[in-house]
Amino acid sequence: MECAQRGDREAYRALLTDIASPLLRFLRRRIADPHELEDVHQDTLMALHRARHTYDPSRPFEPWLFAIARHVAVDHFRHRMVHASHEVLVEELPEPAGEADPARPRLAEVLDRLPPAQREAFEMLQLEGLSVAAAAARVGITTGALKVRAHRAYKALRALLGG
Amino acid sequence: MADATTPLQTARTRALVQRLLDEAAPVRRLWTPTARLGLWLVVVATIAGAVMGLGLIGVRPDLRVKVGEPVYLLEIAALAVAGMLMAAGAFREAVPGYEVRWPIGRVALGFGLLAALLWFLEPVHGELAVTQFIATGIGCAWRTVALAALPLCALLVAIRRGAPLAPTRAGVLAGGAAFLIAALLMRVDCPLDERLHLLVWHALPVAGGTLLSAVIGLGWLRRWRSRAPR
Repeated sequence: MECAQRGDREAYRALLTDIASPLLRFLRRRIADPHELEDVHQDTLMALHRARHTYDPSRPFEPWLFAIARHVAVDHFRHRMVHASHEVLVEELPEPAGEADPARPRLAEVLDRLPPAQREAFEMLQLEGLSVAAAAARVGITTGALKVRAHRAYKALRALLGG
Repeated sequence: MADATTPLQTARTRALVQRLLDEAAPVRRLWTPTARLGLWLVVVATIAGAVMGLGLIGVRPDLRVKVGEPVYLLEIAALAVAGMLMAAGAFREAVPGYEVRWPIGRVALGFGLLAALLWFLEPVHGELAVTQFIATGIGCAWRTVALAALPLCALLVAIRRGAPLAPTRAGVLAGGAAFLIAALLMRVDCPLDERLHLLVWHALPVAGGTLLSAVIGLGWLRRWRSRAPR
């Protein structure tokens, strides 16, 4: 980590590789769902990256790492609880949409044709329901840059879907 | 999905790792909490010297007599220790996993409560009119807030440079530290040794300021995860 703090990319890569297994074991004891696990794992890597200047090489690394991981996992559960409290149960499921127009391409296919950055912005905002700030933080860009990517994605999707 | 011992190798995770590596610029390492505490105390001493030099606060006329009283000395010592311990705790909050063997926040709270208890033992001057009570006391409250403002801002900014995992607690500790030190300076300045005056105009600003700092901590100190990489 000391080398990573000095900007050594290879040392940082080695560190991220080395911590992957213990970090996953730590998170897996708290999170069963594989998709949630992946999200929390990624958020932990992001948090570790943002906090890397706080690590003191004269102190053990594991307490620092697992304190961050525990914090991210707890934060994740807290957000999930808040989201769950806003969910509304309905007695009847809404009617499914009518038969899709075979001439119109499916959303998944169209998304695949978008540039990766635009697709990522669209997925985070529209499919995962993240806020602009949260999505920007996840990919490490400004909210303005994320809005531009999302705007371009919407424009491209409208064109591809013939809307 | 990967098994229990291998890393997740999804495209998203690989892309994220690559992005983190791309951003792996050298970072300026945070000083140790002890060094940062020392620097903060220098800042506080400078501010205290400046406000005394400018005549914004002074020294009570009977200070020479008071320093001979063990209760007064104990009160001053309790405020100083509580303030410094809270500041030490606040700086530790900025570093993930920086465990200490003893509950620093609770010990600091204990010293703060000891000072409040000593104020509670001061005599009551019931003959004072309410308007006079307010007129003499409001200045103490304002000066406590004014004295605490800069040290609190310095402390919050310093904590924000780190990665506080418990932002509300960090805010409480920062607010407690700044306002307890301000209360200490006010006890050197204010000559009124009266129970209600001390509890209302000296203790309440400390409690209110600490609460306000907790709110600031909750709203502002937790945003370190979304800031741009350093």
